[in-house]
Amino acid sequence: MENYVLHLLTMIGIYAILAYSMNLVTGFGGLLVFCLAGFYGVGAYTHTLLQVGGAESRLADELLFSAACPFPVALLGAALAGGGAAIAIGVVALRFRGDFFVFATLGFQMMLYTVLYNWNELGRGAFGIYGIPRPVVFGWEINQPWEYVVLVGVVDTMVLPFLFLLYRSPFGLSLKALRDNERAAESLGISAFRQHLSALMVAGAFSGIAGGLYASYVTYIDPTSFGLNESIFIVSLLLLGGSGNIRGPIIGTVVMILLPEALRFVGLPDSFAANLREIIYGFALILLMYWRPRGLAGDFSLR
Amino acid sequence: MNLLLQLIADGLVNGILFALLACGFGLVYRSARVFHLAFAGLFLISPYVAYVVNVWLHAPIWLAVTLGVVAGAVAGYIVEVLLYHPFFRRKASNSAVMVASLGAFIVIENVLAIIFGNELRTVDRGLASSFDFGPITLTTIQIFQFLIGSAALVALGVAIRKVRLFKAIWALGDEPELVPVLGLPLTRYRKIVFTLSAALGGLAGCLIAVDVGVDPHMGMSYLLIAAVAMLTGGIDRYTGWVLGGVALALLQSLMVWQFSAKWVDLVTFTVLIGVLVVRPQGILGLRKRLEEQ
Amino acid sequence: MMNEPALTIKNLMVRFGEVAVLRGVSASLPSGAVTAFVGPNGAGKTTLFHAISGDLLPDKGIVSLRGKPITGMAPWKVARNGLGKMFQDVRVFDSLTVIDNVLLALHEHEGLSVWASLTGVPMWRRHAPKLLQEAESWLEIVGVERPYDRPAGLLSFGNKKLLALARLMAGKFDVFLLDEPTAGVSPVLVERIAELIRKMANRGITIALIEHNFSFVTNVAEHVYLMREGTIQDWGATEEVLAKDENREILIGL
Repeated sequence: MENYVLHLLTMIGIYAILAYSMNLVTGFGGLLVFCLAGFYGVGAYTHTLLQVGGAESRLADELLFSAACPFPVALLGAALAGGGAAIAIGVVALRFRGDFFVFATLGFQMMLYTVLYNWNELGRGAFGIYGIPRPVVFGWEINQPWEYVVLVGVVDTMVLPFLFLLYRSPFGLSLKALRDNERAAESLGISAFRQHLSALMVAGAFSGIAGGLYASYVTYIDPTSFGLNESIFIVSLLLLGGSGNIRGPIIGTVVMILLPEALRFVGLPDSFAANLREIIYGFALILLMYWRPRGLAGDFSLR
Repeated sequence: MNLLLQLIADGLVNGILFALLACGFGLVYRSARVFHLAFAGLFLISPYVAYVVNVWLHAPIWLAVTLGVVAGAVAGYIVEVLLYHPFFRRKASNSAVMVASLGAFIVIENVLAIIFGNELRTVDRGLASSFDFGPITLTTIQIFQFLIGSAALVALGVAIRKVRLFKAIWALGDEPELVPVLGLPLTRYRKIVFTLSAALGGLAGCLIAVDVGVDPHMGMSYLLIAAVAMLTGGIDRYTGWVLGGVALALLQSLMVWQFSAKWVDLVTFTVLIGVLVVRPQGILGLRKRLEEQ
Repeated sequence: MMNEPALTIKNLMVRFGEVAVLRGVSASLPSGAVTAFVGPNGAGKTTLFHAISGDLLPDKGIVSLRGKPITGMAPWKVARNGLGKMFQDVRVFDSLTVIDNVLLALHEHEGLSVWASLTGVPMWRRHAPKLLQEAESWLEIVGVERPYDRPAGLLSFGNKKLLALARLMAGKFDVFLLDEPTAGVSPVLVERIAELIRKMANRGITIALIEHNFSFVTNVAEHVYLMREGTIQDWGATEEVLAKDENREILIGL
C-alpha cells in the first residue's frame, strides 16, 4: 500500500511536468497540441538509448546506438531531443492556425508513433526496450520507490520554476497577447511564428525530460506508452484542471491520475476497465467543453 | 513491372474507398465547418452492424452491408443531434467542438471495443475468387469495392452538381448566418449533412471490412487519410476530395513497391507535410485570413 | 509638400479574386504631419492600410518607409521598422490587464524571447518599476480610465481606443496608421483624440488616418487623400480638397 502511494506520487510528479509544459503552449499561447506524448516518447527513447550500453547490457547491439552515458547527461539529451522534435513539428505545423494546426499536430503524433513502432533498428519497434538501468545520480543509486519520489521531486523543483518564470515573463505576456489577438500582437512587432515556436520548443524539451524520468522509472518502454491516447490523456488533464495559470494543471494532473485508481477499487475486470476508463475520458471531454470550457480552475477557454 | 501494375490496380481500388471517406469528411467540413474527428469512430459502426447481421444472424452479406450503412447513417444523425447541435446553438469555439468531437470518437471506439473486443473481426466472405486482367489479378471483393464505391461517388457527384439542396449546403459553409435569414432550414441541412456523411463513411467502412476486417482502433489512421485527401485536393471541391483520395492510395502503392508495407502510414503524413510546406496559402493564406476577419 | 515623406506608396494594386480593390494607388505621407484618407465605403481605404502594414500582400506596387522598401514584409517586421497600426475594431488584448497591454509595447523586442526572459530575470525584475511607471504615464497622458490592473476587455469601447493609442505611443512607433480612430466614440472623447493626434504630430510622429467624420478631419489633418473605387481621386491640403463640389458629391452625395 505504501509503495502504491509512492508510485502515484511519482506519476503525478512526471505528469506535472507534462501538464505545465502543455500549459505554456495551450494556456498561454492558445495553441491546442495533440503531440505532447510524441515529445515525451522522443525523450524517453533518447534517454534510454543514451543510458543503455556498457558491459552487462544484453540489448545494446539490437539498438541504433547505445552510449552508456550517466543519468544526468542522458536526461539532458532527452531534453534536447524533445525540443528538437518540437521545433521540427512547429516549423511545419505553425504555418496553419485553428483546426488544421491541431490536426497537423495530431498527424505528427501518429507519425512519431508509426516510426517508433516500425523502426526496429532504432529501439526494437513493437518489442520495446527492457532493462533500462536505474538512475545513478552523483553516486546515489536509485532503487526504492521512495527514492524515485525524491528524484522526481528534485527534478520537478529544478525544472518547473523555469516554466513558472516563463509564464510571468515578457515572453509569457507576449504569448498571452498572441492568444488574445494574433494580428494585433503582430502589429506591435511580435512575431507569432517565433514566439509560438519557442513555446513549443520549451514544452518539447521539458516533455523530453519527463520522458527520460518515466523511462528510468518503469525500466521498460514500448511505443504504446507514447501514442495518440497518451496525448489525448495529457490534453484531457490540462483541459480538466484548466490552463493559463499555475493551479489549473496540477489540479488536473492529480484528478486524472487518481481517477482511474478510484475505478480500480470498484473491481471491474481488467480488460473492461481500460476501455471504460477511456470512455469516461471521452465523456469528460465532451461535458467539459460544453459546460465548462475553461476547466475546473483555468483562466483560459479554448477558442 | 507486373508487380507495379498490380499495385497500381490495388491502389485505384483503395483510392475509391479513400475518396468515399474523404467525401464523408469533406462534406461536413465544407458545410458545417466542423472538424469531424468523431467520424473516425462513426464510420466503424456500419461494419460492426454488418458483422452482427452477417455473422451472428447469418444474413447474406448484401443485406448486412445495407443495414450497416443505414445504421451508420442513423448514428451520424444522432451524433449531430446529441453532440454537435448543442455546441452549435451555444456558438462554441471551433477548438472546443473539435475536442468534444475527439471525446465522441474515444467513446465510440471504446464502446465498440467493449462489445466486440479489441481484436480484428472478419465477415464471412465465402471463397474469394479472382479474375485476371492481363498481368493484373483482382479478387471479386476488390471488383465489388471498386464498382460500388465508384457508383456511390458518381451518384454523390451528380447530386452535388444537380440537386439544389447541395447549393444551400455549400452556402452553409460560406455564410452560416445568411442561411436562416433567407428562411432556409439550417438545422435540417446540418442533420442531412451529418447523416449523409456517416452513410458515405459507413459504406467505405463496410467495403473495407469485407476485405480486411474491422477492429475498433483502426479509425484514426483512416480519418487522417480522409482529412489529408481533402486537404490535398482542396477543401472546396468534391472532385478535389476524390482526386486526393485516389492520389494518396496510389502513393501508398508506390511506397509498398519501393519500400515496405509497414511504412504505408508514413505516406499520409509525408503528403500532409508536403501540402503544408508547398501550399501553405492554399488553405489559410494571408488573404483568406484577412477576408475572414 | 514641404517635408521629406516618411512613407511613400507607389502604384499599389490589390485584387481579391476577380475584384480589384486597389487599382494603382500612389501616395506619400509627409513626415510629422497628419494625413487623412477619406472616401465612401468600399473605396479601399482599409485595404490600403492592410497592404501597407503587411497584413495583406499587395499584387503590385511598392511601399517604402523612410526610403526602405517594406512591401510584402510580415506585419511584425513592418512594425519593428517603426510603423504602428490601430485596427478599425481596436483589438486590445482582452485578457491582459490595461497596464500589461502597454507594458507589452514598451518591452524591447529582443526582450520578449525565451532566452532573454530566462536570463534577464534580474533585469526585467529590476526594470519593472521603471517600466510600470512609464506605462502608467502613457495611460495618464492618453486618459484611460483607472484602475489599470483590470482586464482590458472590461473597458468601454472609447477607452479601448484610447488604450490602443497609448500602446502605439509606448511602442515608440514613428508612423501611425489609425483606422477610424473616432468611429463609435463619444463626442468628448473625439475631442480628446483630436488633441492627442495633434500632440503626437507635434512630436514628429507621422500619422495617417481613415475617417468619416469630416469636422474631425478638418480639425486634425493637414493633407487629405480622397479615394474612390480603389483609386486616388484627389489629394492636397485638407480645406481645398473638401471644398471642391465634385469631391463633396463623392463623399456625401451633395
